[in-house]
Amino acid sequence: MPVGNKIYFPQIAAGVWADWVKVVNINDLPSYVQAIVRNPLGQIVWNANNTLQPYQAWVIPVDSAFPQENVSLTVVSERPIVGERHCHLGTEVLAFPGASPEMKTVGTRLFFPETVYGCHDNFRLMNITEYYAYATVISRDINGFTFKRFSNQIPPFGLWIFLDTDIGNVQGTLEIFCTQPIVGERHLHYGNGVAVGQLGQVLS
Amino acid sequence: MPLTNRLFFPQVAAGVWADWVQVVNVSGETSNVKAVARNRGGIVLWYADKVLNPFQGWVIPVEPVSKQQDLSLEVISNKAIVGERHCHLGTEVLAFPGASIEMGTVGKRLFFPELVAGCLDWFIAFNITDAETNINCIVRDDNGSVVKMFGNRLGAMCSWAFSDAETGNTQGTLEMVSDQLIACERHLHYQGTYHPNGVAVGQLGQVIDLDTLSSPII
Repeated sequence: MPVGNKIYFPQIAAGVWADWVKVVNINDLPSYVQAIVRNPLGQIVWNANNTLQPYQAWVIPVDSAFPQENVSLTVVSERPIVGERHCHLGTEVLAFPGASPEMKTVGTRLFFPETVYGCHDNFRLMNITEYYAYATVISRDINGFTFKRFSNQIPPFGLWIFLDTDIGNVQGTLEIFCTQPIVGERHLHYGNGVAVGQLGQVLS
Repeated sequence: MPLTNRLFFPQVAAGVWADWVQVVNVSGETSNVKAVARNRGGIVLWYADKVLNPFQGWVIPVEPVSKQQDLSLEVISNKAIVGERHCHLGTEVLAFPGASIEMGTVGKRLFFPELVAGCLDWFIAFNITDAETNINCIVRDDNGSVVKMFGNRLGAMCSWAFSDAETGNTQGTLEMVSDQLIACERHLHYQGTYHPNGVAVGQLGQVIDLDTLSSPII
């Protein structure tokens, strides 16, 4: 399977969080790369482009361009591309690879092996398709018993954010079924200046 | 494509770092799960097993065993399984999903999009096969020019740690090419310029050679 030429970042954070996104052309030919920023409704609000030499990196200037609203970022390249994002605030850093179907980080069934009672869990789903997606979330306790279940519709290229209040602040796991491929981020804030970022593990 | 029934964690850390590893049986049936910890030389030092009900989680009690030395951890299940590891010290947390062939986090060509000059980059590669492997590392700067190349031979189920001393403390990227399937962690410990001390990020190498299913090991 080829490496993807389209990678997705479900969030570029607003406010005091400082985002840093770097992509690398991992091909032996120059590549034209475009970065597209969308708002939570999936509407394009900003874009930039660059031509990258083989294995050259580009830190996309999206943070300074879009400080006032949570947005998503799609990076499209002529050639295979990889990337990562770090989102900083003090000693908290949320780190994510760019997601793609080829990297097996995009799918219709996602699983998070941990949700933490007493901490702050924040989830963000991005529908990477041109179709409306219907996502169902199952929150289970550590023994596997279903604790809560809820659903939502996500517009094309749009976002859905949900929190502890939705999943029931449970010590357990989270599973997401969706009618279209999605990528899911989890932000775990321990509450003492420590945070962890994770992508949902694809079970489909 | 089937879900995985074999997860790999290249490190369970020694010393003051506190490790937490949780796996979950993601099948609809009861599963027999076995956890195997090895030293860097691939020697099994500890194991444990447990029966997990559907979607039940298990925090593997490997931590006391790893106090004296770094270990790797392999988790084998007779049903589909996922897992993650958090490695804690103060405000530093290194977080990793369990790596597997099926999840696309184990391969023969791995790429790390970032190395940071002035911070501490530290890597640990884990040969998940029963055969010896040659690993070549290519360090490039942000313009794509090769800065350093180095390699190592790694025995079956062995692990290899290297750091800035080998990569040249470069601002750039790292590519790893291996004869056999490997998983690799990066630990980035921020220092000075970018952050107060006490900030760390963990990442798995991104697999850019994804036809690994042609080399089944299960």
